Amino acid sequence: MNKQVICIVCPKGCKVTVSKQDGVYTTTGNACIRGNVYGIQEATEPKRVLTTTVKINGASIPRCPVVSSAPILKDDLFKVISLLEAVELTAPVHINQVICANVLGSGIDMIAAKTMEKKHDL
Amino acid sequence: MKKNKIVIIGGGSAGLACANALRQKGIQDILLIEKEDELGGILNQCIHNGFGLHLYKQELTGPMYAQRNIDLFMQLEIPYILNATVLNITEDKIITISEPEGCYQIQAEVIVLAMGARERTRGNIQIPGDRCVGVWTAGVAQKYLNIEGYLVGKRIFILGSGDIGLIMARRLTLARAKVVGVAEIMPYSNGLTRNIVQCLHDYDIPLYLSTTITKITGHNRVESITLCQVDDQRRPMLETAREVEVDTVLLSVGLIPDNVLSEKASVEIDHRTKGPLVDSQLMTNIPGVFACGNVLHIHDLVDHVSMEGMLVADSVVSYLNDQHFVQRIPVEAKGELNYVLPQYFDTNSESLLIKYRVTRPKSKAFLKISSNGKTLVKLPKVDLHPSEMQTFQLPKVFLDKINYNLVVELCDE
Ligand code: SF4
Repeated sequence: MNKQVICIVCPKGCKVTVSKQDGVYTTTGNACIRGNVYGIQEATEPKRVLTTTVKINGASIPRCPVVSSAPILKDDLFKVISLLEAVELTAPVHINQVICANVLGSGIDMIAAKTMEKKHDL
Repeated sequence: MKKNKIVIIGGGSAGLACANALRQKGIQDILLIEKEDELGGILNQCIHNGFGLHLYKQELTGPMYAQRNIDLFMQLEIPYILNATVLNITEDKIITISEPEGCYQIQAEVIVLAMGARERTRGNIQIPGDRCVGVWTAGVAQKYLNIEGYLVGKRIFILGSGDIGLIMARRLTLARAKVVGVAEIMPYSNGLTRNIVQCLHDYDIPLYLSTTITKITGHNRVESITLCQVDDQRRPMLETAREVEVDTVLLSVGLIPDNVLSEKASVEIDHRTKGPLVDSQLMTNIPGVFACGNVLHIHDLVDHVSMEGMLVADSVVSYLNDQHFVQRIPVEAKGELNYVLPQYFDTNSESLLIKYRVTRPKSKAFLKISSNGKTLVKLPKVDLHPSEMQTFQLPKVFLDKINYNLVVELCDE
Protein backbone atom coordinates (compact mmCIF):
# COMPACT_ATOMS: atom_id res chain seq x y z
CA MET A 1 0.00 0.00 0.00
CA ASN A 2 1.19 3.49 -0.85
CA LYS A 3 -0.70 6.61 0.11
CA GLN A 4 0.06 10.30 -0.32
CA VAL A 5 -1.02 12.72 2.35
CA ILE A 6 -0.17 16.35 2.97
CA CYS A 7 0.95 16.91 6.54
CA ILE A 8 -0.98 19.79 8.10
CA VAL A 9 0.71 19.81 11.49
CA CYS A 10 2.86 22.82 10.64
CA PRO A 11 2.89 25.39 7.80
CA LYS A 12 5.62 23.56 5.87
CA GLY A 13 3.01 21.17 4.46
CA CYS A 14 5.26 18.18 3.68
CA LYS A 15 4.00 15.65 1.13
CA VAL A 16 4.20 12.43 3.08
CA THR A 17 4.10 8.99 1.46
CA VAL A 18 2.79 6.30 3.76
CA SER A 19 3.65 2.68 2.88
CA LYS A 20 2.79 -0.59 4.51
CA GLN A 21 5.07 -3.61 4.42
CA ASP A 22 4.53 -6.77 6.46
CA GLY A 23 1.97 -4.96 8.58
CA VAL A 24 4.35 -2.12 9.45
CA TYR A 25 3.70 1.45 8.35
CA THR A 26 6.56 3.68 7.28
CA THR A 27 6.59 7.23 5.98
CA THR A 28 8.83 9.19 3.65
CA GLY A 29 8.81 12.87 2.76
CA ASN A 30 8.03 14.06 6.27
CA ALA A 31 10.61 16.52 7.54
CA CYS A 32 9.95 15.59 11.16
CA ILE A 33 8.46 12.88 13.34
CA ARG A 34 5.12 14.63 13.71
CA GLY A 35 4.55 14.01 10.02
CA ASN A 36 5.05 10.30 10.61
CA VAL A 37 2.38 10.11 13.29
CA TYR A 38 -0.02 12.33 11.37
CA GLY A 39 0.61 10.56 8.05
CA ILE A 40 -0.12 7.08 9.40
CA GLN A 41 -3.29 8.23 11.15
CA GLU A 42 -4.45 10.08 8.04
CA ALA A 43 -3.70 7.17 5.70
CA THR A 44 -5.33 4.53 7.87
CA GLU A 45 -8.14 6.14 9.81
CA PRO A 46 -8.71 9.80 8.89
CA LYS A 47 -10.78 11.70 11.44
CA ARG A 48 -12.17 15.22 11.59
CA VAL A 49 -13.75 17.43 14.20
CA LEU A 50 -17.28 18.11 12.93
CA THR A 51 -18.84 21.54 13.34
CA THR A 52 -22.28 22.51 12.12
CA THR A 53 -25.45 24.16 13.41
CA VAL A 54 -28.79 22.76 14.55
CA LYS A 55 -32.20 24.32 14.74
CA ILE A 56 -33.04 26.09 17.99
CA ASN A 57 -36.41 27.53 19.05
CA GLY A 58 -36.95 30.36 21.47
CA ALA A 59 -33.45 31.92 21.21
CA SER A 60 -32.61 35.25 19.61
CA ILE A 61 -31.21 33.49 16.53
CA PRO A 62 -32.55 30.29 14.88
CA ARG A 63 -29.33 28.21 14.73
CA CYS A 64 -27.14 26.85 17.51
CA PRO A 65 -23.52 25.98 16.66
CA VAL A 66 -22.43 22.48 17.69
CA VAL A 67 -19.10 20.64 17.67
CA SER A 68 -18.06 17.03 18.15
CA SER A 69 -16.38 16.29 21.48
CA ALA A 70 -13.59 14.47 19.60
CA PRO A 71 -12.63 13.86 15.96
CA ILE A 72 -15.09 11.64 14.08
CA LEU A 73 -14.23 9.14 11.33
CA LYS A 74 -14.21 11.08 8.08
CA ASP A 75 -16.51 8.54 6.44
CA ASP A 76 -19.13 9.08 9.13
CA LEU A 77 -19.40 12.85 8.81
CA PHE A 78 -22.47 12.92 6.56
CA LYS A 79 -24.22 10.26 8.65
CA VAL A 80 -23.84 12.49 11.71
CA ILE A 81 -25.04 15.49 9.68
CA SER A 82 -28.19 13.50 8.82
CA LEU A 83 -28.79 12.77 12.50
CA LEU A 84 -28.41 16.43 13.37
CA GLU A 85 -30.77 17.59 10.65
CA ALA A 86 -33.58 15.98 12.67
CA VAL A 87 -32.62 17.71 15.94
CA GLU A 88 -34.58 20.68 17.22
CA LEU A 89 -33.44 22.43 20.40
CA THR A 90 -35.28 24.77 22.70
CA ALA A 91 -33.52 27.65 24.46
CA PRO A 92 -31.88 27.97 26.89
CA VAL A 93 -28.91 25.89 25.83
CA HIS A 94 -25.62 26.07 27.68
CA ILE A 95 -22.16 25.84 26.15
CA ASN A 96 -20.78 22.26 26.32
CA GLN A 97 -24.28 20.84 26.85
CA VAL A 98 -24.66 17.47 25.10
CA ILE A 99 -26.94 17.87 22.10
CA CYS A 100 -26.66 14.38 20.67
CA ALA A 101 -24.96 11.71 22.78
CA ASN A 102 -22.78 8.87 21.56
CA VAL A 103 -23.35 9.49 17.86
CA LEU A 104 -23.38 6.27 15.77
CA GLY A 105 -22.17 4.43 18.85
CA SER A 106 -18.78 6.13 18.54
CA GLY A 107 -18.64 7.29 22.15
CA ILE A 108 -18.41 10.84 20.81
CA ASP A 109 -21.01 13.48 21.68
CA MET A 110 -22.14 16.50 19.72
CA ILE A 111 -22.06 19.43 22.12
CA ALA A 112 -23.32 23.00 22.02
CA ALA A 113 -20.59 25.53 21.19
CA LYS A 114 -22.46 28.56 22.49
CA THR A 115 -24.67 29.58 25.38
CA MET A 116 -28.04 30.62 24.01
CA GLU A 117 -30.47 32.23 26.41
CA LYS A 118 -34.20 32.22 26.05
CA LYS A 119 -35.31 35.26 24.09
CA HIS A 120 -37.13 37.78 26.23
CA ASP A 121 -40.09 39.25 24.44
CA LEU A 122 -39.79 42.98 24.12
CA MET B 1 -21.35 66.04 27.63
CA LYS B 2 -20.95 62.50 28.96
CA LYS B 3 -17.34 61.67 29.78
CA ASN B 4 -15.47 58.37 29.73
CA LYS B 5 -11.82 57.72 30.34
CA ILE B 6 -11.54 54.90 27.81
CA VAL B 7 -13.95 54.15 24.99
CA ILE B 8 -13.42 50.97 22.98
CA ILE B 9 -15.14 50.89 19.61
CA GLY B 10 -15.98 47.30 18.67
CA GLY B 11 -16.90 44.29 20.81
CA GLY B 12 -15.12 41.60 18.81
CA SER B 13 -12.01 39.73 19.84
CA ALA B 14 -9.73 42.78 19.83
CA GLY B 15 -12.07 45.03 21.79
CA LEU B 16 -12.98 42.36 24.34
CA ALA B 17 -9.36 41.38 24.97
CA CYS B 18 -8.41 45.03 25.41
CA ALA B 19 -11.33 45.77 27.75
CA ASN B 20 -10.71 42.68 29.87
CA ALA B 21 -7.00 43.39 30.18
CA LEU B 22 -7.61 47.05 31.10
CA ARG B 23 -10.06 46.11 33.82
CA GLN B 24 -7.66 43.47 35.16
CA LYS B 25 -5.07 46.25 35.42
CA GLY B 26 -7.46 48.12 37.65
CA ILE B 27 -8.90 50.62 35.18
CA GLN B 28 -12.49 51.32 36.15
CA ASP B 29 -13.84 53.83 33.66
CA ILE B 30 -14.24 51.84 30.44
CA LEU B 31 -17.07 51.85 27.92
CA LEU B 32 -17.27 49.35 25.08
CA ILE B 33 -19.49 50.09 22.08
CA GLU B 34 -20.78 47.30 19.82
CA LYS B 35 -22.90 47.72 16.69
CA GLU B 36 -24.47 44.24 16.64
CA ASP B 37 -26.94 42.88 19.17
CA GLU B 38 -24.38 40.59 20.78
CA LEU B 39 -20.71 40.72 21.71
CA GLY B 40 -18.10 38.48 20.09
CA GLY B 41 -17.77 39.97 16.63
CA ILE B 42 -17.07 37.90 13.54
CA LEU B 43 -16.24 34.78 15.57
CA ASN B 44 -19.94 34.25 16.25
CA GLN B 45 -20.37 33.16 12.65
CA CYS B 46 -17.07 31.24 12.38
CA ILE B 47 -18.46 27.99 13.76
CA HIS B 48 -15.52 25.85 12.61
CA ASN B 49 -12.78 24.88 15.01
CA GLY B 50 -9.08 25.67 15.14
CA PHE B 51 -9.14 28.87 17.18
CA GLY B 52 -7.08 29.44 20.28
CA LEU B 53 -4.18 27.08 19.69
CA HIS B 54 -1.62 29.74 20.63
CA LEU B 55 -3.43 31.41 23.49
CA TYR B 56 -5.32 28.53 25.09
CA LYS B 57 -3.35 25.55 23.75
CA GLN B 58 -6.55 23.96 22.52
CA GLU B 59 -8.66 24.04 19.41
CA LEU B 60 -11.88 25.90 20.04
CA THR B 61 -14.68 26.78 17.65
CA GLY B 62 -15.20 30.47 16.94
CA PRO B 63 -18.24 30.82 19.21
CA MET B 64 -16.39 28.98 22.00
CA TYR B 65 -13.40 31.31 21.74
CA ALA B 66 -15.72 34.31 21.78
CA GLN B 67 -17.66 32.95 24.74
CA ARG B 68 -14.50 32.74 26.86
CA ASN B 69 -13.85 36.41 26.30
CA ILE B 70 -17.49 37.37 26.78
CA ASP B 71 -17.80 35.37 30.02
CA LEU B 72 -14.73 37.11 31.43
CA PHE B 73 -16.03 40.47 30.25
CA MET B 74 -19.36 39.90 32.03
CA GLN B 75 -17.61 38.68 35.16
CA LEU B 76 -15.52 41.87 35.21
CA GLU B 77 -18.75 43.89 34.88
CA ILE B 78 -17.41 46.21 32.23
CA PRO B 79 -20.00 48.70 30.91
CA TYR B 80 -21.05 48.25 27.29
CA ILE B 81 -23.73 49.28 24.80
CA LEU B 82 -25.13 47.01 22.07
CA ASN B 83 -26.83 48.00 18.80
CA ALA B 84 -24.85 51.22 18.93
CA THR B 85 -23.47 52.87 15.83
CA VAL B 86 -20.61 55.30 16.16
CA LEU B 87 -21.37 58.05 13.66
CA ASN B 88 -18.31 60.14 14.14
CA ILE B 89 -15.11 60.55 16.10
CA THR B 90 -13.06 63.71 16.15
CA GLU B 91 -9.42 64.50 16.66
CA ASP B 92 -10.41 65.83 20.08
CA LYS B 93 -11.81 62.41 20.90
CA ILE B 94 -15.47 63.34 20.87
CA ILE B 95 -17.53 60.33 19.89
CA THR B 96 -21.03 60.65 18.40
CA ILE B 97 -23.18 57.59 19.05
CA SER B 98 -26.59 56.54 17.83
CA GLU B 99 -28.13 53.76 19.90
CA PRO B 100 -31.64 52.65 20.88
CA GLU B 101 -31.68 55.09 23.84
CA GLY B 102 -30.87 58.03 21.60
CA CYS B 103 -28.15 59.96 19.88
CA TYR B 104 -25.48 61.70 21.96
CA GLN B 105 -21.81 62.56 22.33
CA ILE B 106 -19.11 61.28 24.64
CA GLN B 107 -15.83 62.96 25.45
CA ALA B 108 -13.17 60.26 25.78
CA GLU B 109 -9.66 60.53 27.11
CA VAL B 110 -8.54 57.44 25.21
CA ILE B 111 -10.15 55.78 22.18
CA VAL B 112 -9.34 52.23 21.19
CA LEU B 113 -10.19 51.49 17.56
CA ALA B 114 -11.28 47.84 17.31
CA MET B 115 -13.82 47.93 14.48
CA GLY B 116 -12.45 44.96 12.57
CA ALA B 117 -12.60 44.62 8.82
CA ARG B 118 -15.03 44.36 5.96
CA GLU B 119 -14.96 42.15 2.91
CA ARG B 120 -13.94 43.20 -0.54
CA THR B 121 -16.97 43.08 -2.79
CA ARG B 122 -17.68 42.56 -6.48
CA GLY B 123 -17.33 46.30 -6.96
CA ASN B 124 -13.85 46.27 -5.46
CA ILE B 125 -12.58 43.68 -7.93
CA GLN B 126 -14.82 44.56 -10.85
CA ILE B 127 -16.10 41.35 -12.44
CA PRO B 128 -17.94 42.20 -15.66
CA GLY B 129 -21.31 40.72 -16.52
CA ASP B 130 -24.92 40.87 -15.46
CA ARG B 131 -26.02 42.45 -12.21
CA CYS B 132 -28.06 39.46 -11.12
CA VAL B 133 -28.96 37.99 -7.75
CA GLY B 134 -26.70 35.29 -6.38
CA VAL B 135 -23.34 37.02 -5.95
CA TRP B 136 -22.34 37.15 -2.30
CA THR B 137 -19.24 37.71 -0.29
CA ALA B 138 -18.19 34.57 1.57
CA GLY B 139 -18.65 36.22 4.96
CA VAL B 140 -22.20 37.29 4.22
CA ALA B 141 -23.07 33.78 3.03
CA GLN B 142 -21.48 32.48 6.23
CA LYS B 143 -23.61 34.77 8.36
CA TYR B 144 -26.78 33.74 6.53
CA LEU B 145 -26.03 30.05 6.96
CA ASN B 146 -24.56 29.90 10.44
CA ILE B 147 -26.62 32.55 12.18
CA GLU B 148 -29.87 32.79 10.22
CA GLY B 149 -30.00 29.27 8.80
CA TYR B 150 -30.36 30.24 5.13
CA LEU B 151 -28.43 28.53 2.35
CA VAL B 152 -27.48 31.04 -0.35
CA GLY B 153 -27.55 28.61 -3.28
CA LYS B 154 -27.40 25.05 -4.55
CA ARG B 155 -24.62 25.06 -7.17
CA ILE B 156 -21.92 27.38 -5.97
CA PHE B 157 -18.62 28.62 -7.32
CA ILE B 158 -16.12 30.35 -5.06
CA LEU B 159 -13.74 33.03 -6.28
CA GLY B 160 -10.64 33.44 -4.16
CA SER B 161 -8.85 30.86 -2.05
CA GLY B 162 -8.63 32.87 1.17
CA ASP B 163 -9.46 30.95 4.31
CA ILE B 164 -13.04 32.18 4.56
CA GLY B 165 -13.73 30.89 1.05
CA LEU B 166 -12.21 27.50 1.82
CA ILE B 167 -14.08 27.19 5.11
CA MET B 168 -17.30 28.08 3.30
CA ALA B 169 -16.64 25.46 0.61
CA ARG B 170 -16.73 22.78 3.30
CA ARG B 171 -19.56 24.36 5.23
CA LEU B 172 -21.80 24.63 2.17
CA THR B 173 -21.01 21.04 1.20
CA LEU B 174 -22.03 19.84 4.67
CA ALA B 175 -25.20 21.92 4.26
CA ARG B 176 -25.80 19.86 1.10
CA ALA B 177 -25.04 22.45 -1.54
CA LYS B 178 -22.79 21.50 -4.44
CA VAL B 179 -19.56 23.50 -4.48
CA VAL B 180 -18.41 23.24 -8.08
CA GLY B 181 -14.95 24.68 -7.57
CA VAL B 182 -12.69 27.40 -6.21
CA ALA B 183 -10.65 29.70 -8.45
CA GLU B 184 -7.55 31.61 -7.39
CA ILE B 185 -5.96 34.24 -9.62
CA MET B 186 -2.53 33.76 -8.04
CA PRO B 187 -0.41 30.70 -8.86
CA TYR B 188 -0.58 29.63 -5.21
CA SER B 189 -3.38 29.37 -2.69
CA ASN B 190 -4.00 32.14 -0.21
CA GLY B 191 -5.35 29.82 2.44
CA LEU B 192 -3.68 27.66 5.06
CA THR B 193 -2.61 24.20 3.88
CA ARG B 194 -4.77 22.74 6.58
CA ASN B 195 -7.83 24.35 5.01
CA ILE B 196 -6.90 23.25 1.50
CA VAL B 197 -6.73 19.67 2.75
CA GLN B 198 -9.67 19.60 5.12
CA CYS B 199 -12.06 21.84 3.19
CA LEU B 200 -11.29 21.05 -0.45
CA HIS B 201 -9.48 17.69 -0.76
CA ASP B 202 -11.79 16.05 1.77
CA TYR B 203 -14.80 16.79 -0.42
CA ASP B 204 -13.12 16.52 -3.84
CA ILE B 205 -13.64 20.20 -4.56
CA PRO B 206 -11.25 21.33 -7.31
CA LEU B 207 -8.98 24.36 -6.81
CA TYR B 208 -8.09 26.15 -10.04
CA LEU B 209 -4.92 28.20 -9.63
CA SER B 210 -4.01 31.10 -11.97
CA THR B 211 -7.69 31.24 -12.86
CA THR B 212 -10.38 33.88 -12.50
CA ILE B 213 -13.98 34.64 -13.36
CA THR B 214 -14.19 36.94 -16.36
CA LYS B 215 -17.97 37.13 -16.62
CA ILE B 216 -21.10 36.46 -14.63
CA THR B 217 -24.21 35.66 -16.66
CA GLY B 218 -27.82 35.55 -15.50
CA HIS B 219 -31.22 37.07 -16.02
CA ASN B 220 -32.58 37.51 -12.54
CA ARG B 221 -30.40 34.95 -10.84
CA VAL B 222 -26.87 33.84 -11.70
CA GLU B 223 -27.02 31.17 -14.41
CA SER B 224 -23.37 30.70 -15.31
CA ILE B 225 -19.88 32.07 -15.01
CA THR B 226 -17.00 32.23 -17.45
CA LEU B 227 -13.72 30.90 -16.08
CA CYS B 228 -10.45 31.91 -17.66
CA GLN B 229 -6.84 31.05 -16.90
CA VAL B 230 -4.52 34.01 -16.47
CA ASP B 231 -0.93 34.55 -17.63
CA ASP B 232 1.89 35.55 -15.32
CA GLN B 233 0.76 39.18 -15.56
CA ARG B 234 -2.67 38.07 -14.32
CA ARG B 235 -4.21 38.85 -17.72
CA PRO B 236 -6.99 36.46 -18.78
CA MET B 237 -6.02 34.16 -21.66
CA LEU B 238 -9.26 34.27 -23.62
CA GLU B 239 -8.61 31.03 -25.51
CA THR B 240 -8.94 29.17 -22.19
CA ALA B 241 -12.40 30.58 -21.42
CA ARG B 242 -15.08 28.11 -20.48
CA GLU B 243 -18.57 28.45 -19.14
CA VAL B 244 -19.66 26.77 -15.91
CA GLU B 245 -23.29 26.52 -14.83
CA VAL B 246 -23.86 27.69 -11.28
CA ASP B 247 -26.61 29.54 -9.45
CA THR B 248 -24.36 31.31 -6.95
CA VAL B 249 -20.94 32.96 -6.82
CA LEU B 250 -19.16 33.54 -3.52
CA LEU B 251 -16.36 36.06 -3.35
CA SER B 252 -13.52 35.39 -0.95
CA VAL B 253 -11.20 38.04 -2.24
CA GLY B 254 -9.85 39.55 0.90
CA LEU B 255 -10.64 41.78 3.82
CA ILE B 256 -10.04 45.49 4.22
CA PRO B 257 -9.59 47.11 7.64
CA ASP B 258 -12.68 49.19 8.32
CA ASN B 259 -11.26 52.66 8.90
CA VAL B 260 -14.11 54.91 7.79
CA LEU B 261 -14.36 56.25 11.34
CA SER B 262 -10.60 56.46 11.88
CA GLU B 263 -10.26 58.71 8.86
CA LYS B 264 -12.92 61.05 10.22
CA ALA B 265 -10.67 61.58 13.22
CA SER B 266 -7.71 62.33 10.89
CA VAL B 267 -5.97 59.08 11.80
CA GLU B 268 -3.26 58.48 9.19
CA ILE B 269 -3.64 55.27 7.20
CA ASP B 270 -0.87 53.07 5.79
CA HIS B 271 -1.57 52.36 2.11
CA ARG B 272 -0.13 48.85 2.49
CA THR B 273 -1.89 47.57 5.62
CA LYS B 274 -4.94 49.81 4.99
CA GLY B 275 -4.89 50.33 8.75
CA PRO B 276 -3.64 53.20 10.90
CA LEU B 277 0.05 54.02 11.06
CA VAL B 278 1.04 53.11 14.61
CA ASP B 279 4.05 53.14 16.88
CA SER B 280 5.36 50.23 18.92
CA GLN B 281 2.66 50.91 21.52
CA LEU B 282 0.02 50.69 18.76
CA MET B 283 -0.86 54.35 19.16
CA THR B 284 -1.90 56.22 16.01
CA ASN B 285 -0.77 59.71 15.03
CA ILE B 286 -3.49 61.09 17.30
CA PRO B 287 -2.26 60.93 20.91
CA GLY B 288 -4.60 58.76 22.94
CA VAL B 289 -6.08 56.94 19.95
CA PHE B 290 -4.94 53.32 19.69
CA ALA B 291 -5.77 50.50 17.25
CA CYS B 292 -5.81 46.72 17.51
CA GLY B 293 -7.10 43.70 15.61
CA ASN B 294 -8.28 43.64 12.01
CA VAL B 295 -8.84 47.39 11.89
CA LEU B 296 -5.05 47.73 12.21
CA HIS B 297 -4.05 45.02 9.74
CA ILE B 298 -5.64 41.77 8.60
CA HIS B 299 -4.83 38.81 10.82
CA ASP B 300 -4.96 35.13 10.03
CA LEU B 301 -5.16 33.97 13.66
CA VAL B 302 -7.55 35.34 16.25
CA ASP B 303 -4.96 34.63 18.95
CA HIS B 304 -2.85 37.42 17.51
CA VAL B 305 -5.88 39.71 17.51
CA SER B 306 -6.45 39.10 21.22
CA MET B 307 -2.77 39.60 22.00
CA GLU B 308 -2.85 42.92 20.16
CA GLY B 309 -5.83 43.98 22.28
CA MET B 310 -3.85 43.13 25.41
CA LEU B 311 -0.82 45.02 24.14
CA VAL B 312 -3.00 48.10 23.63
CA ALA B 313 -4.25 47.72 27.21
CA ASP B 314 -0.62 47.94 28.42
CA SER B 315 -0.01 50.95 26.23
CA VAL B 316 -3.15 52.73 27.40
CA VAL B 317 -2.07 52.33 31.02
CA SER B 318 1.35 53.82 30.32
CA TYR B 319 -0.27 56.60 28.25
CA LEU B 320 -2.53 57.48 31.18
CA ASN B 321 0.61 57.58 33.34
CA ASP B 322 2.16 60.02 30.85
CA GLN B 323 4.77 57.57 29.69
CA HIS B 324 4.49 58.09 26.01
CA PHE B 325 5.80 59.84 23.01
CA VAL B 326 9.43 60.57 23.62
CA GLN B 327 10.59 60.07 20.09
CA ARG B 328 9.19 58.21 17.14
CA ILE B 329 11.68 56.44 14.92
CA PRO B 330 10.38 55.25 11.54
CA VAL B 331 10.33 51.53 10.80
CA GLU B 332 10.77 50.73 7.11
CA ALA B 333 10.03 47.57 5.16
CA LYS B 334 12.54 46.50 2.51
CA GLY B 335 12.88 43.57 0.16
CA GLU B 336 10.05 41.16 -0.46
CA LEU B 337 7.88 42.32 2.40
CA ASN B 338 4.31 43.33 1.93
CA TYR B 339 4.31 45.35 5.10
CA VAL B 340 5.87 45.73 8.52
CA LEU B 341 4.10 46.72 11.69
CA PRO B 342 4.50 48.94 13.68
CA GLN B 343 5.49 51.75 11.34
CA TYR B 344 7.22 53.67 14.17
CA PHE B 345 9.28 52.72 17.16
CA ASP B 346 8.46 54.77 20.22
CA THR B 347 11.72 55.09 22.16
CA ASN B 348 9.80 54.77 25.41
CA SER B 349 8.70 51.22 24.56
CA GLU B 350 10.06 48.43 26.67
CA SER B 351 9.57 45.89 23.93
CA LEU B 352 9.18 45.73 20.19
CA LEU B 353 7.08 43.08 18.51
CA ILE B 354 7.62 43.23 14.76
CA LYS B 355 4.93 41.78 12.50
CA TYR B 356 5.38 41.30 8.79
CA ARG B 357 4.08 39.55 5.72
CA VAL B 358 6.01 38.41 2.66
CA THR B 359 4.93 39.35 -0.85
CA ARG B 360 5.22 35.80 -2.25
CA PRO B 361 5.98 32.30 -0.96
CA LYS B 362 9.63 31.86 0.03
CA SER B 363 11.10 28.54 1.09
CA LYS B 364 14.30 30.17 2.38
CA ALA B 365 15.17 33.75 3.25
CA PHE B 366 16.84 35.92 5.86
CA LEU B 367 15.18 38.52 8.02
CA LYS B 368 17.59 41.38 8.55
CA ILE B 369 16.92 44.11 11.04
CA SER B 370 19.18 47.12 10.99
CA SER B 371 19.28 50.61 12.39
CA ASN B 372 21.17 53.57 11.01
CA GLY B 373 23.11 51.27 8.66
CA LYS B 374 24.14 48.78 11.36
CA THR B 375 22.78 45.24 11.31
CA LEU B 376 21.23 44.30 14.65
CA VAL B 377 19.84 40.89 13.87
CA LYS B 378 19.92 38.54 10.91
CA LEU B 379 18.05 35.30 11.11
CA PRO B 380 17.30 32.50 8.68
CA LYS B 381 13.63 31.88 7.92
CA VAL B 382 12.00 28.97 6.12
CA ASP B 383 8.64 28.39 4.50
CA LEU B 384 7.26 31.89 4.52
CA HIS B 385 3.87 32.40 2.94
CA PRO B 386 1.90 35.61 2.26
CA SER B 387 -1.13 34.13 4.02
CA GLU B 388 0.79 33.63 7.26
CA MET B 389 1.72 36.67 9.30
CA GLN B 390 5.15 36.39 10.90
CA THR B 391 6.16 37.88 14.20
CA PHE B 392 9.53 38.67 15.70
CA GLN B 393 10.15 39.99 19.18
CA LEU B 394 13.27 42.13 19.00
CA PRO B 395 15.44 41.15 21.97
CA LYS B 396 15.54 43.91 24.59
CA VAL B 397 19.32 44.39 24.33
CA PHE B 398 18.82 45.89 20.87
CA LEU B 399 16.22 48.47 21.85
CA ASP B 400 18.88 50.97 23.01
CA LYS B 401 20.74 50.53 19.75
CA ILE B 402 17.87 51.84 17.65
CA ASN B 403 18.47 55.31 16.37
CA TYR B 404 17.57 57.35 13.30
CA ASN B 405 15.63 54.50 11.66
CA LEU B 406 14.85 50.82 11.83
CA VAL B 407 14.89 48.80 8.63
CA VAL B 408 13.25 45.39 8.42
CA GLU B 409 14.37 43.58 5.32
CA LEU B 410 13.78 40.22 3.75
CA CYS B 411 16.81 39.19 1.75
CA ASP B 412 17.99 36.06 -0.05
CA GLU B 413 21.37 35.88 1.64
S1 SF4 C 1 6.23 16.58 8.65
FE1 SF4 C 1 6.89 17.94 10.27
S2 SF4 C 1 7.80 19.64 9.12
FE2 SF4 C 1 6.58 18.52 7.64
S3 SF4 C 1 4.57 19.54 7.68
FE3 SF4 C 1 4.48 17.86 9.15
S4 SF4 C 1 4.99 18.79 11.10
FE4 SF4 C 1 5.66 20.19 9.52
